[in-house]
Amino acid sequence: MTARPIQGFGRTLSIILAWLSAPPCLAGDLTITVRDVGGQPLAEAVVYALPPAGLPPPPPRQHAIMDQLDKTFVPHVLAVQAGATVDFPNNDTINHHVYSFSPAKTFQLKLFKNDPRKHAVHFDKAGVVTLGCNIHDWMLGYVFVAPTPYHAVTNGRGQATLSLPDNASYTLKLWHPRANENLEALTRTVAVPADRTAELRLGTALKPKRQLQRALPGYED
Amino acid sequence: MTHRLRTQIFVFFLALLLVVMGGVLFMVYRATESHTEALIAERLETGFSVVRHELETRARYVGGTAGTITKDFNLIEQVVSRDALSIGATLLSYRGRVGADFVLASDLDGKLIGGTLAMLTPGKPIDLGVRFTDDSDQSHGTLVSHNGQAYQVFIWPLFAPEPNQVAWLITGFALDDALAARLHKLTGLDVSLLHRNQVLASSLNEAQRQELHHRLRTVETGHSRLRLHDRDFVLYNQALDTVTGPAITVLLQRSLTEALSEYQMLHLQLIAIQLGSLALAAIGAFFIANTVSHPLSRMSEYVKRIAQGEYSEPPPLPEKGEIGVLAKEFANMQRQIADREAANRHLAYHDALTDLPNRNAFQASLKETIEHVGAQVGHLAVLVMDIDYFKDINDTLGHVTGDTLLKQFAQRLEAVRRPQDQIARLGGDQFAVLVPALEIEAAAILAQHYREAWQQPFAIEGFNLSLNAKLGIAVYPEHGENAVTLLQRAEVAMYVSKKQKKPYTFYDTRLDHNSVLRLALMSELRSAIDRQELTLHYQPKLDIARGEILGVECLVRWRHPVHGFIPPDDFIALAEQTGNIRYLTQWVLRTALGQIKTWREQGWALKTAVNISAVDLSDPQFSNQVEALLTEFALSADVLVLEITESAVMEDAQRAVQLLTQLQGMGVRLSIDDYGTGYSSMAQLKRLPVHELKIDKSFVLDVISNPDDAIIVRSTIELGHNMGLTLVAEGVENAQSLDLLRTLGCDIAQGYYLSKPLPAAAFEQWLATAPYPPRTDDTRSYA
Repeated sequence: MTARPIQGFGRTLSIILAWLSAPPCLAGDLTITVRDVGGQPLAEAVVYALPPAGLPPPPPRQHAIMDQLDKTFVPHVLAVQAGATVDFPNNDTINHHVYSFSPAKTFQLKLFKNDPRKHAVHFDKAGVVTLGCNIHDWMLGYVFVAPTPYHAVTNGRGQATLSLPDNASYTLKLWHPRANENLEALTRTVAVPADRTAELRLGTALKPKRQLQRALPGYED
Repeated sequence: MTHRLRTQIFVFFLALLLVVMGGVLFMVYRATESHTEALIAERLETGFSVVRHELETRARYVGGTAGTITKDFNLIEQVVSRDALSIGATLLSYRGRVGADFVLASDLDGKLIGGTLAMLTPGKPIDLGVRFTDDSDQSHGTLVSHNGQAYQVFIWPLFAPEPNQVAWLITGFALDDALAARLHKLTGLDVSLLHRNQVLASSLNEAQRQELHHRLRTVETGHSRLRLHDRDFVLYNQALDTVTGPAITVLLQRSLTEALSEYQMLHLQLIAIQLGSLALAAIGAFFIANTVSHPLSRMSEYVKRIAQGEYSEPPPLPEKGEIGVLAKEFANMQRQIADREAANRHLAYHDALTDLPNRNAFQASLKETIEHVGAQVGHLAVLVMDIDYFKDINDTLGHVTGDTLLKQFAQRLEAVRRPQDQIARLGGDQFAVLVPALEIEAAAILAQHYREAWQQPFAIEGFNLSLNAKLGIAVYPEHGENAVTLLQRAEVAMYVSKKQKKPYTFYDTRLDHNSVLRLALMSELRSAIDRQELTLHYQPKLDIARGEILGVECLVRWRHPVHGFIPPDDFIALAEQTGNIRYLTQWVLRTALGQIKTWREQGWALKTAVNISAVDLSDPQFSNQVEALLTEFALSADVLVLEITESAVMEDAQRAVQLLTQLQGMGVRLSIDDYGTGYSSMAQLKRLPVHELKIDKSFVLDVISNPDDAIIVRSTIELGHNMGLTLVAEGVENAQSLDLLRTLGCDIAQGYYLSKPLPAAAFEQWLATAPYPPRTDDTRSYA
């Protein structure tokens, strides 16, 4: 009960920071709506656009944050550009032992509570990094390392906006942790500024949410 | 015969016992066997549950343990690192924790990362036949064969974290004899794990295992029996349905033979007991059989003797029990039979009313006395007596009184009976005395002696009745040499006494003809009619005033081929007694009417008179018969005169009147015969519908010489005339009588003076030359 305002705060903070860290430039906004196979808006989907030729130079080092709050990874899905660094602050009240054995990044962090260090991890390879906690089996999080600076995670309404430089066409791709199909098939090309919106729709139902049992009810801290 | 009974009982009991015992033994054996088998079957099923539970428990345990191991961070770290050696070492230690026979880790494609099985190469696919699929349920395990050994293999996904699977963990448990041995220890049964007709593991010994292997094809699912290695086994074969993939079946078995051997002792004891009881029963049966058959055989002997009429004392018989009761009843029966025989004998030989010996007894006794005594003694006598007028007494006083009288008579006889004499009632009112030794001179005295019996009056119903009886005496050997003859002749003598009104008469051979004749004639009369041995003789009747023959009286004559001429006195009475009189009367009527018709056709207007008896009077058909005959001969009724004696009429006056009235109504003339000798009264005479009276010849014969008779005749004639009757005098034997009768006014005369009865032809001749002519017309007939 007491964690919720903190969680909400944390989230808001992350969003604000993310927004703040976005470079101001002339960009066309492409609002992408992602829907599942039933037509429902799909949250926590990573949409990213690959520019046509080469990538812009690596961005300045930005720190994304993958927090642990209330024995949960916050956010559940974090999208960063390859080469970015992600902080694991652990604002939870307890210790966590975060790890990943994903080929994109294998690491483990013993994150004690009240540890002021940021525990930054550098993700230089594109790919999906699955996060778990050794102590809490149910904790599951994703860091999607995109090969492009143009990436976003859809919100609760299934929408995400990409600021793309004008006058180019981009290859739009999608990723969702529970996608049960070959997502390459959903790759689209979008032209900016001509296309202001795009809609991506999954063709297959998602894998079920595998929620491991948390601590027993009544044992909430 | 009784031996057969005894043997039968004995054999029967024995056979029954044998059957029963055999049955019991058989059933006990069957029961124990099926019970044992059932118990074993139950135990096998329980065993199966145990085995299944054991394997499932292991799976769960493995699952539990594996669940923990698969979350082991170090393991995951090592597996991810792909360090085969380290992994192998780690898994080796985990193998111990889990209790598995091998533990392997493979990547998501099934290639070995590391493990405890040395022969597998890291990086190569694990060729165990395990399917690496994302099955949600890991509790089953898979059956796998590797290196000639069967394993139960479980696979567990390694997550980092879930749902992010990074590897598979594979644990394998050998299904080997060790397991079978453990299961055997757990269940107490022989356990074999089978797969596709192969014995994977077994707790059986080598030899049994070999044989089982050969016989596997015959083993069905569920309960069955199998003979392995000279022992009967009860089997239970069931698949472990919790195992996916090719099935393992568990075969549990227990030796029935062994289990049954525990009952052997019981069976042997049972057999021993049964044989013992059989022996005892045999002895018992033998004794019982004896107890039953022995008295029965003696009793059957005894019964045989009874059947033969020997009512001797019964043989000594057991007092108690059913046999005793039976014996007592037999003795009873014997006594009762004897009593009944005696009673029957008594009845057969005694008269019921007087309790004197009856005719049979008397005759038998007489016979016996003749046989025993005859030669020595010289003479013996038979006396037969008949009470006078007993019939009248009976009619007057009633049969009850008559019986009482007879009883008293018998008592009187008994009272005067001499000890050596025997008395008997022959029947009716006839009694007899047997005098076994007699001087013939004493016979008359003897008769007198017995007459004492009825000298005193008899007290009956408050008044005194005097009886008289007549005796007939026959003496052995003069009057007969056998019992029948003597008795008969005594009876004849008795009848003579009656007739001659003598107190006693000795038999005389002269009487022989008569009596013997009488007996014979009784049966011959009827046939005599048929053989025409009878003829009618006709005696003329004279109309005195006119001097004409006005009619005839018909009289029957019998000329017997052997005995010659038989007087009517003899046979008419007989005929009346036997009832033959009817035929006789019919014949007489027919003949008479036929003859008179002939004569009338010749011009003689004669009437014909026929004698009828009381018997005819009592025949209701008589008048019809007369009418029929008259019609047949076409004669008018007044041609016929029927003569009835006064006494015959008085026998049953009422009936006589009835019939006579009928006849009179027809126009037949009626005449009272032998008038003056019967018991009629004036009043009765007045009522009789008759036309004439015939004065009895006893009055007419001496009418000249006897003034009393003359008076009677004169009175009768006057009386008759005053009553409007015609008078006929019978027995006119001379002219003087005829003249006197004429003087007295008699109407008709009949007698030897005119003619004796003559046959038809002779009569005609006589009439032709008679001093009196026949009447020639009817107009001047008498009323």
